[in-house]
Amino acid sequence: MMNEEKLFEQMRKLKQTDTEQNTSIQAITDATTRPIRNWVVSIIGTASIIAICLLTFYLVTLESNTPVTSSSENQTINKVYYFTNGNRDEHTFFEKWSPLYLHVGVVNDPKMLEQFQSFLQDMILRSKDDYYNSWYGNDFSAMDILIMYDDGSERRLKELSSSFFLDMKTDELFYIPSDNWLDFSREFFKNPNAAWGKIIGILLLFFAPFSMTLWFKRKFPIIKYREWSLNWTHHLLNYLAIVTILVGFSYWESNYGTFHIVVYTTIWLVYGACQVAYRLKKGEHMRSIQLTIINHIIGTVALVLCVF
Amino acid sequence: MNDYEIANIYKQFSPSIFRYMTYLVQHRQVAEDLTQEVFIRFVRTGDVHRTPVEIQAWLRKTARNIAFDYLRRKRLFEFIPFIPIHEKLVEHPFFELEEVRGLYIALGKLKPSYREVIIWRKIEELSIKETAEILSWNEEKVKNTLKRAIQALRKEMGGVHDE
Repeated sequence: MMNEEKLFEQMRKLKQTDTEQNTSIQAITDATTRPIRNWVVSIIGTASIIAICLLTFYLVTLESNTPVTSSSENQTINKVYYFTNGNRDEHTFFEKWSPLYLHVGVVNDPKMLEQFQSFLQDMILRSKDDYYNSWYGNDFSAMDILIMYDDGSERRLKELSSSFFLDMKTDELFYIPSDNWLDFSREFFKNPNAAWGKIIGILLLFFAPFSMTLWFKRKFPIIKYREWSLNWTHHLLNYLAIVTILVGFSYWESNYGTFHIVVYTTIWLVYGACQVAYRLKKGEHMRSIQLTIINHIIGTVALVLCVF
Repeated sequence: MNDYEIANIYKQFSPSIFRYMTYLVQHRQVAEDLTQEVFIRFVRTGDVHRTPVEIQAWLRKTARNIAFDYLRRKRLFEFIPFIPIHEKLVEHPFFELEEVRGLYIALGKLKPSYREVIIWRKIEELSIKETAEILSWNEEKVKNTLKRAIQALRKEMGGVHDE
């Protein structure tokens, strides 16, 4: 049996191998003396950050012009704005700056506007008592509509239920009797930016985190290989999570109607927080944890764009 | 400081820093990371005109700061209920010796101040004065703490070894 001194002597023999030493020296050299040489990676990373800022700005400030208050029914429709607010409180009408609105869209297509105009001309005035006595008044997520005419005047409508509209200026209630109104309205009031949102969202989702990770790898070589392998594994898991969320979103939308975007984002952020907590628990380098957080923010923006 | 100088300094001074980190944080890969961090800080200070003794003293003090930062951070997040880290002990031939492995595990059970006084005095064989300088203690405190640390270590190991 060895005595303590011998045991301590054995422990004194612990050292890094030559390969480990050289790897460490390389990492130190990279971290302290070498600038970022891969300009392509650097540019992609920077461009991604700028793109995220611009897209966020776009989402926040989308169509935020203050509407004027006037009304006309004899002019051609120039543009239609619609605001999905997800609640039936009449006082929130056109408060599109309010966080209550899920999204704001604008329709410019002349054919659609023409068709919409003909629907409006067919509107039948109804008494409010009739409306409230009917079965329509309940359980409906309303949409607010702002119609801009060529002469600059406007009309504000609130969709109280399918085919029932309240003119916010005159306080009159109208009914659109056309049989195909519901089909038309679904097409008419869809988010015109949805396709672009999905394309940009998916591109961002696939390329931005990769670019960011590569940029970090160049900038902070101190992060160890085992952490990089975890990074790439997390990329794969992130894509699976996103696909699951998007499939869940499609299923829910097709079967049960609109579900709030906040729920998807919350699921994603909670998942991200779990990843960060796991990395902290593993005692990973702070730069690696920062990278995870940045990639999750990118993922959040991309997810919102995909679902928006 | 050029690549050659960095390599020289690392090869000359890293072994004791690496051992200190490994025995203090009880995780070889983390110890490698932290050792690198010590040298990155050293290179970034840009001061290459110090004597080897001064360099060594600076590295040891910095290593201590970095290690304790890590231990504080680790303790802060220990409450998170995730998979625990399983340290692989057989990373070096001497860990195959049962008694050495026992000492390593026992060392890990001591409080950090006991761990580091044993590392510097017993494993690295520094003098009481040198140890006192690194730890910013007086020499009397080094002596007393070492005595208590050795007693605690023996207790953890089952009290079978004599000095």
